[in-house]
Amino acid sequence: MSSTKHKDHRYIEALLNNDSRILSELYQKFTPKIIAYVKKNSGDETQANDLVQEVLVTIFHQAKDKGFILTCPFDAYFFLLCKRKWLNLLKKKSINKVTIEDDYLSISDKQEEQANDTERYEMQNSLFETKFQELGKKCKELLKMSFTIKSMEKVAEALNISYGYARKKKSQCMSQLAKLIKADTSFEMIKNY
Amino acid sequence: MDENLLTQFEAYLNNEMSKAQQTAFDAKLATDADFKADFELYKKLNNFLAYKFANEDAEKELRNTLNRLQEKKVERKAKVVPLFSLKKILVAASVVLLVSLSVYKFTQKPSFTDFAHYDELTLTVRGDDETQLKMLEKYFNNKQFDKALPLFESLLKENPNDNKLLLYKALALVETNKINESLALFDKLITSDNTLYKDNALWYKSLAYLKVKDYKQCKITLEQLSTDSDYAEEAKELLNSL
Repeated sequence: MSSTKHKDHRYIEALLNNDSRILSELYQKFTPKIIAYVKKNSGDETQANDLVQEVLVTIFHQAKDKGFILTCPFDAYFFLLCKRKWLNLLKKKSINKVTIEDDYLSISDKQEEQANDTERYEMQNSLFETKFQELGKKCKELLKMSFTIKSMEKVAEALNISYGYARKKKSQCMSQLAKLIKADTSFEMIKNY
Repeated sequence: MDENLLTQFEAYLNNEMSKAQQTAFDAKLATDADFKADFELYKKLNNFLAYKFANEDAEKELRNTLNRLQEKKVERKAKVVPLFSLKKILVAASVVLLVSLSVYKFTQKPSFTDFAHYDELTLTVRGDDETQLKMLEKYFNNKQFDKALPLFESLLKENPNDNKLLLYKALALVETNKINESLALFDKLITSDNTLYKDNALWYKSLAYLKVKDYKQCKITLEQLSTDSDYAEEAKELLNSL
């Protein structure tokens, strides 16, 4: 994929650098449209703000984790992501009496492709995260330690267990996590991402 | 995914295997699709967890900033104006309004309503008693576009190639924000063998794009309009302000 940075990539950089000046500009420029859209479609301003925040956090992670580069204008890309996420939320709540205002927006293949990319990233991460949270407390703790401390010897020491046991435990927890993920219906969708 | 498998994966990734074990592992990766899928998932999980724990704080900080910006926005909106200063503010506001009105012309993009005006729709000749046509004229000319649409629909069923009806239906669609549908009709008129409404279709197609703020397509469409069309003057004005 060609990856010529679009000038709007500065918004992505602002997320990475927690640059409140540019982020404030982002809010002023792009969120009124999203708030209006959510309000038109069975939501309120608070929900719209939450939606915006979740989408921005996802973009931040994708950029930091995978080096995401924006190659199209931010506006359409961001709006598409918010819109789809909102529709998914409505679907989940199975609000039936929704009138979806079909907002016309000219979307190029590139914008769509970029939005799809971010969406897949989010889908995978949220599946992994949900399943991680389903693990027992001990597993969560051990995994967190083994990934932050990195040396299993030190993890064993900190938990006052043997090195062999710590490794075995880690394998068990990882195995359980993998099983939970594979058993989820949405796993098929993200398998090849 | 059982633990034995995971122990193998871990050993492989940590370079703890003998040469022979490694070769056997690579061979299995190449031939056993399930094994490979499990290995890929394991790697993804490892990446995910390593990333997650390393960036939890950064996420929190970003969320703090975003919350602050959000609150600031709400506050600005909800600020209560004390009564005694209301008059002062009103005076100041009117000054600002005057100034911004004069700046407005130069800085704002033109809008759909600046340019959208239509010739009155006349379909019947005097003495005709075609109720549907009369109703349609009335609805369209009174800007009751949503009521006009079903009538267009049924009249076009009888005369699917009536270009005038097609054009006015497209206008009603633009007015009711059914932009995509209107674009299809405009295109039909633009490419039609009967070129009578070609210029009208191009002009109003550009306005449809203007309505949804797609300035790029608006421009592209305007540039196709011939320079001797009825709309040439307005088109030039619009092009200059885009």
